[in-house]
Parts: sequence; structure tokens; C-alpha cells
Amino acid sequence: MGKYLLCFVFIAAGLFAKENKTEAPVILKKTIEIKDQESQVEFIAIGKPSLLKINGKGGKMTGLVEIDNSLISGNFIVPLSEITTGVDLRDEHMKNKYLQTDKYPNAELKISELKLEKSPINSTFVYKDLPFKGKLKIHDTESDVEGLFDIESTEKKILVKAKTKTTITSHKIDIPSYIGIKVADEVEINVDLKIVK
Amino acid sequence: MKSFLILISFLCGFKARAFPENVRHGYFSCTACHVSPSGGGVLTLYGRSLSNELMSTWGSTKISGFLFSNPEDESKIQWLRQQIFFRGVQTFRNTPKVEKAKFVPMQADYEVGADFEKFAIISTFGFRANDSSQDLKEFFSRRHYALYRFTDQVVGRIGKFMQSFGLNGPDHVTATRRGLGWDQGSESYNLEMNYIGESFNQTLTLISNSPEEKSVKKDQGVSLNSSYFWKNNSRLGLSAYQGRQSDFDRTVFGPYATISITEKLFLNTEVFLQDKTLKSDSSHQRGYASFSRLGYEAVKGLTPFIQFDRSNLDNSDRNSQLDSYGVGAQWLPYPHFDLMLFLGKEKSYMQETTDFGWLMFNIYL
Repeated sequence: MGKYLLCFVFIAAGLFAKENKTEAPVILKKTIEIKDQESQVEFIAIGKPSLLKINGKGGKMTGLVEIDNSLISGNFIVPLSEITTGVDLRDEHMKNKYLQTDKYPNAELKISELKLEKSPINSTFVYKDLPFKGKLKIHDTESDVEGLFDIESTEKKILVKAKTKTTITSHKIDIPSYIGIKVADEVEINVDLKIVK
Repeated sequence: MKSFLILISFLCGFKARAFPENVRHGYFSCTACHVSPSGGGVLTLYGRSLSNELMSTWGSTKISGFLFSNPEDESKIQWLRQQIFFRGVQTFRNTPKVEKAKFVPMQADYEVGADFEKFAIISTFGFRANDSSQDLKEFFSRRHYALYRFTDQVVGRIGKFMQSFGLNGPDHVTATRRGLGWDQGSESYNLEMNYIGESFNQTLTLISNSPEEKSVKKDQGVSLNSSYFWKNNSRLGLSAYQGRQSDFDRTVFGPYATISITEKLFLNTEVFLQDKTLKSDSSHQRGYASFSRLGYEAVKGLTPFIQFDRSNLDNSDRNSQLDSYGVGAQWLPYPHFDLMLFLGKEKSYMQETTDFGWLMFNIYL
């Protein structure tokens, strides 16, 4: 009987110890630097009246992402002079006449307190079409933006695809126009980001 | 000799340039560059600029004033559209019976019109060959139309022009144009409505016989051309036509696509099925025509390509089968100068393979 009682105590102690282990607070906090080779930023603007799609490509993002358990925030910078649309004259107009990249070289995006169900530091998961809000500064003028993002957390990296929209006039930029083609005010912005854990 | 002349007549069917592969650059609709909603013909100011910026090997902003005025020049008449088209082709054909080379003038047209915010009127004036000499000596108007832009998306047009069908490419010598009887020269009087959306384009055309033409080989019917802008760089479409000529009724339908495989590599392809009912005995001729071109823009303005055409418009008659394939290159060395070289082989059922080639030039000032 004594033997059985002893076994029970050991087993109970073991279970209790395991329970204690899972409940112990684990700090899952990390700041990760985003390097420009791990991102792609592009925009799609519509030229009217022919509804041509102007696709600005080649943007790279740098910045810091802070992960605090399941809360994510980040500050990002995109040098605008690296974005090209495939037509030299259009790029020249975009950068010099409208974005004025010599005075305002970067777009800046701030994302704060993005809440996930799990921490991406120690979990693997895939979520689609999650909403986010942030502040986007272009042409030295900040505007609120909101959009949707997909996030995939794997063992070694976090992949993010985000989509948002802004308007040209909200950044105090003249609406671009060129011999009969005028760009629509609303512009779609797409970001692909790879974060190495 | 007969086949040589037939070849020449085929080659005279080039539409004033339109470049459906520009969908790769976001140009889903033709109306950014052309006044005509289905492309080709007189350019908008933006189109003139783009031929310089995007399409020519030596085009650059520094030379935009040469041969055509600066599109940003506000002193010029902003609503006036005008263009001169010169085209010709040097052909070569080698068959077991004949080996021959010949230069053929193809087009000398002046296209002029007024293009305002809501409406436009456009007409060409030029010369065409009306006999076997191939000399351009008969005065005529290849196309003339009026269009009205109800909104940015909805455009109506009435007049003489080619119906919108399939890729709407410039090459009317293909099996899907020549083979189906839609060469240049088959422009008809049409009433057309276009919906030009961000992701979908629709064109409905009511086609009538041309009162000025004596030929009975003119269509009368209705066509629908629909396309979808896929991945912001490719076009997927469907076309359908139901109509008649003097001796048959027919239905033609099928898919077409311009697919951007990479930024520089693209595929233009279309396949149309035809069901023709002969009025004489109500018998059916069913078959198909296809065209595929795989092009690679090696440097700006220079696009080598391979091409394959096949038609078999009457499945019950193996003699209707025709294959044509070859390699070519299109080069736009300078804005508004366009050269195209094609070397190919043609094979029909039970016939010897024929070698042929042509070098076409196209100047539109």
C-alpha cells in the first residue's frame, strides 16, 4: 500500500510540475530589422479615361518590426526613387514633378499594435485577410491608411502580404496628368515582406 | 505565279499598327494610344508619346520633336489628329515551280480627324490597288467613323471600320483573319458599343454590308468581343460572331489571349471554331483556325518571335488543312518606323512545302 501511495505522489508531483511549466510566463518579445532585399513594394494607379494600369515596381522596404507576444508594430521606410513604372518619361514626371523625391525621398509607414491570436515568434500559422491600420507619410504629409494582410509564420520566417489604398490628394500631391491621360486619385499599394525570425 | 499573287494579296492585309502585347505594360484598353476603341489607326497624343517612350529602340524624350511635334506643345491644335501611313512589303517565295521576289506597295493613307473630350470624327483618304498590277491608284477611304464617349467606360461608334474580334492584332495574313475572310479590305459599316472597364472590356458590333462595295464577300451579322485583364499584365478573351454572306450563314467563336510569361516574353494566341451552313444545299462545314506567336523583347523595340498558324475550316475535306510556321522579328528602331521580317514555310495537305519570306516596312508620321 505504501509503495502505491509513493507512486501516486510521484506521478501527481510530475503532473503538477508539468502544469507549472506551461503556466510559467514566457517573454516572446523581439525586435527584428527588415532589410531591403527581403521586401517588395509596388503600387497600381489607374490612368483615365482609358483605364490603363500604371504599375510602379521595385520599391524596397527597410525598418524595424517589434513583436511583443501576439502584438506587432513596425516602422518602415520605402525610398521612392527606386520605384519605376516602365516608362522613363513617366518615372521622371512621377519623381520630379509629383512626388518631388529630391525633397521628400521616402515614404514612411507606421503600424501599431496589430493583434494576432498567437505570437509569431514561437508559433506557426497562416491567417488571411486580417485588417490593419496605420499612418502613411508621403510628400511630407501623413494620412491614415487601412487595409488587409495575409500572414504566414513558419519555423524560421514570417511572410506578410499586405494591401492598402491611399489617395494622391491626401498627401498634397497634384493629380498627375499627361496629354489627355489623368491618374485617378486612389492608388493601391501592395507590400510583400519576409521577416527572418 | 498564282500562289505568289495570292501571297501578295494576303500580305496587303496589315492593319495600321496596333500592339495587343502592350497589355504587358498595363495597356489593357487600346484607347490610351488610339482614337479607335479597338486599336489601330490614328494615334492619340499619348500614343504618339508612347511610341517614342516605350516602343522604339532609339526613342527618348530628347528626340521627341523630330518628325512629329512635341505632344506637350500647347501651341498646336489640341483636337486635331492626323497621321500618314506608308507601308510596303518585299516578298520572296520559293516553290517547286516558281522562285520569285517582288516589292509591293501596300498602303498610302492620310488619316485625319477631330477628337474632342466627348466625340471624335476620323477618316482616312488614300489609294488602293484595284487590279493585278498592285499599283495604288484607286482613291478610297479605308475607314471613317464617328464616336461618342457617353462616359469614360462607354463608347459608341458608327462608320466603316474592322469589327473588334479576337486579339485585334495588326496581322491580317494569319489563319484567324485571312482564313476567316477578315483581311484588311473587309472593313464594313458597323454600329459598335464598347464597355471599357478596369478589368473587363466588352464590344458589341452590328455589322452591315458596305453599300459602296460590289463584292458579295461581305459579312452581315453581329459580333461580341469580351476580354478580362488578368494579373495586370495579360488579357484573356472570348469572341463570337453570328452572320451571313451571300452564299452561307456562319457562326465563329473561340478564345484568345495575350499572356505575359515574363516581363519580356509573351504569347499571343487565338483559336476560332467556325460552323458554316451553305445556302445551296444546307450542308455544314465545320472547322477551326488558330494563330500563335511567341515573342521576346530582346531589347527595347526589337522583338524576335516564332509563329504557328493552322487552319482546317472543313473537317470533312483534308484539302482545307493549311499550316504555316516560321520565325520573324519586329523592330521599331525609331518612333513611328516599324520593320518586320518573317521567314516561314507553308504546308497544305498533299502539297509540297513552300518557303516564303517577307520584309515589311511601316511608317506612320
